[in-house]
Amino acid sequence: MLEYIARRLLFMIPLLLGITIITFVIIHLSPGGPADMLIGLSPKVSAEAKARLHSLYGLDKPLHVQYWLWLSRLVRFDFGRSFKDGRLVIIKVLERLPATLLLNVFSLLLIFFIALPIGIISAVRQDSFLDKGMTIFVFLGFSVPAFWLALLLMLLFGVVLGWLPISGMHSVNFPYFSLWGKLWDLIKHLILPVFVSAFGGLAYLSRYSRTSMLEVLRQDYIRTARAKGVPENKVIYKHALRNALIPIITLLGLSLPALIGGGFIFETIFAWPGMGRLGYQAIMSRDYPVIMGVGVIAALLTLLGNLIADITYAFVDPRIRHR
Amino acid sequence: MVMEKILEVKNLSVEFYKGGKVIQALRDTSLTLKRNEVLGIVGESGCGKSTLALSTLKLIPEKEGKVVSGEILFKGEDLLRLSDEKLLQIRGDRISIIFQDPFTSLNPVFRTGYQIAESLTLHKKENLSTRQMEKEIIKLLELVKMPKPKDTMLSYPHQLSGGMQQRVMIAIALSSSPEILIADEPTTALDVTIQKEILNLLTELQKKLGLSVVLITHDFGIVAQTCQRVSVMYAGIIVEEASTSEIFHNPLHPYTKGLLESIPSRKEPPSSSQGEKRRLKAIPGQVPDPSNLPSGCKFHPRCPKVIEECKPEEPNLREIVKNHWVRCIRAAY
Amino acid sequence: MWKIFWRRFRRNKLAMLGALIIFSLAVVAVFAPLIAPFSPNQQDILHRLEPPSHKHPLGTDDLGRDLFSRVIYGTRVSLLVGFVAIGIAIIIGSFLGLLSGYFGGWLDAVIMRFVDIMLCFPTFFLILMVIAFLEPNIWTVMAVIGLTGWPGLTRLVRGECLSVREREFVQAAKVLGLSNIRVMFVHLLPNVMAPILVTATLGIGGAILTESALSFLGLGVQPPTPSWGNILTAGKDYITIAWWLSLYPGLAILITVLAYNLLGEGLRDVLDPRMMAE
Repeated sequence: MLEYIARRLLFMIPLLLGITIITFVIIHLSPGGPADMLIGLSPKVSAEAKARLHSLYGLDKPLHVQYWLWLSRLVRFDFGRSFKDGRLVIIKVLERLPATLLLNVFSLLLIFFIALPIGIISAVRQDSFLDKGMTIFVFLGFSVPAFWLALLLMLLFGVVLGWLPISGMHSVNFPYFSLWGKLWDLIKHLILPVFVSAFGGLAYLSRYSRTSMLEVLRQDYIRTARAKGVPENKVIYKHALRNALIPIITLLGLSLPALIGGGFIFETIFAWPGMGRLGYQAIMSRDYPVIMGVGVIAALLTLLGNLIADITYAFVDPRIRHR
Repeated sequence: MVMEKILEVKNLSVEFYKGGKVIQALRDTSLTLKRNEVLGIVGESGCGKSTLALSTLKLIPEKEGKVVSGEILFKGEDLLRLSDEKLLQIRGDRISIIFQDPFTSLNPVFRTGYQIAESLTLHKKENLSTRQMEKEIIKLLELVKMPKPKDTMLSYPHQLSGGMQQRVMIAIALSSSPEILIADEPTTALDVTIQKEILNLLTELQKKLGLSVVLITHDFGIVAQTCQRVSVMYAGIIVEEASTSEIFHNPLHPYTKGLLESIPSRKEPPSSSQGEKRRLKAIPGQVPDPSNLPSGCKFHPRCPKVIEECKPEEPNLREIVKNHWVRCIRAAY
Repeated sequence: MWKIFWRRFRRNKLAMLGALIIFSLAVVAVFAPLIAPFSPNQQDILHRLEPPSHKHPLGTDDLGRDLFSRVIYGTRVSLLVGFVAIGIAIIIGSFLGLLSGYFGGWLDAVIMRFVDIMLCFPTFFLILMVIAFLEPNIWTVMAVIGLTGWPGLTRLVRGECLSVREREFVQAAKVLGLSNIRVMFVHLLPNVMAPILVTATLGIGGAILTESALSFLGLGVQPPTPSWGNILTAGKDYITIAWWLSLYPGLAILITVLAYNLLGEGLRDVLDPRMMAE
């Protein structure tokens, strides 16, 4: 199995390289070129100063040299400084990372604990009322624009009912709360963003769990279990579930990129102080270094999610674990 | 001593539902298994033999098919009308079944020893400690002549060869000391060299443990080697039934004759010493579509001896010779 | 063969519903000027932020424009973006997938590596990043959605190619000496059409969702051109006083995407080769 992990890690190297190349290409897409990356669109900078910066940062050098420079900076996580406030990009991103991770981890948990049972039970009771209801729910889940849902929920729970806060991570008087108060405040702020963030994933994973379980229930070894005299509920929850879980757990790891991607919208709508919101604000203000920083970190997190998914898969499936 | 009928299938009819069509997998089939006997059920794919096996333990999912009528009597008790609880006591306990493809029939995520232990736990009344359990498992694996029992116990199914996997299946099946073993094409998925080993093993175990066995196959060669009595199935019904030697020496149903003639014989070279070539005879035509069976005798479209009377009504089984039953109006001729 | 599909398609009620809705939407989009009571850009500041009434069935927005008319014109944007973006993705994806699946070897390895890299980036953020460096408008949106949507399709087509490639008629064609291109396009392609069609239909729904999200964030279709997404931007700003701005455009998106999903899933059932065995 160590061999398997080593192979996966090795596999990632070209991917990492690819990320650097693509981000490099993107930087050069902007009309002003990478010069904008460094000096922003400030009109105050004279043509002379620009020319000096060009040579200073090697912008007049051939592309492959520039790429090498870019690569060496990336390795050190040196994304430069933000145009907005001049702070180091990497620091700004790391500051916001915990909030994003918090949101995403809770979303994943929600998805797992709700979608999985729904999917499994739908498969076991195929064509029942529950199954049909779930199918409808899934279809809606795939079709609803998540940000719209966010708006509606904000309207309902925040404005009309006033039960939940609609922005930020903490209330204004957070520092004055007791420990429990702080916890409760955090949870209240988490509920809407987590739910909206998880919504699409819920639909997807329920469907996937159902399919996976149905596939497993069709297998010969389930028939063998019954022939052995195993009671039906054990057939399902021991023999079948264990097998159905394998692809599902892997899928969870792969859900991370989707969650991070969606985070940009949800964090913005709910004013959640995470990486996504930082990225969005950077985009709106054309703060290129920050955009790059957020983008690369996001890609890295995705890779990490994939790696975790692969490792979990190897762990959980004996066919991989023992060759 | 009177031979007891341990399993009696009486007028069993089973229907399948596929794509909106009704398929008659078994039509009014009856057969008997005596204690200590090895009964062979022969037929081509789709003739209903596997359905017969699965119906015994009610292993056909409700959505796929249903028993329409008939009884399956195990020592006089109708298995089809048992409560779920009682059925669990029969499955894997009094009647065990092994399947065609051992690789897909074993759960890939549990160790082999665990899967055997599960069966032991379900069917042995005493609670065994871990060490006792391990001993029992190794005993079973030795019984099925597994080369390295301890290693096998700890492995996963995918780490074993086909032959070893099938031995594990047999071990699981025998863990409860059942009275009946149903073997549904146990060697079809295995290499030819392993086939013989497994068949020999089954024969040995049958004699040693006094099992009553139903062996389902499409291969007459296997029947010749292992079975005492044979039932030939075609299109969901039994068309001939006799002892093995009787069937080989005196096949009476045209289908059986056709099957026997289409087996290449190792002893007869393709060209005999007189320069004549013996041709392999194949039965013309194809097995009928189970959702659209012909009228009368189901074999009549392919039968070399067909006459007009074969077409309107399906004949009954008649005892032409003692203990030799045939479903054919031309069999006496 | 197509007759069988059509018959089965007709039997699948949900797919028919989806198709019906899409057809209606297409009609609305084409005949928008005839259907909409007002011009979508006609401002009437005196009557801004009015709730639904007889004159304005869905109300008015912050500049007094009739919401109903704007939603109608928004249909054009959504359908156009959906088709063009997915069109781009299909062309690139199928082509690369065919190459990859048919030739195998190092070409396959290179293409798939590229696909993996593309899939590393959270798609949405990739789109955001690219648009941030370019000028956001309907054309860039279509191009970018298309250019980020092909990797999944490539994998799919490649997979299908791999299984079809081994079938006899492909071998036969090769033995007959037909050129590679001919074999690919004339023989392989029709057989992988079915999953491509399904993915494309479902993809249009996804593209519409992405476009509306981008427009909502201000990085897609720019006002005054009405897009359901950018109408919702105003909806967010005036959420406490004009609920209709938030409700109706979103509802339009929901119905449209739902229709495509129903159609796509229906097609999937209809074109499922397993059911051909009946």
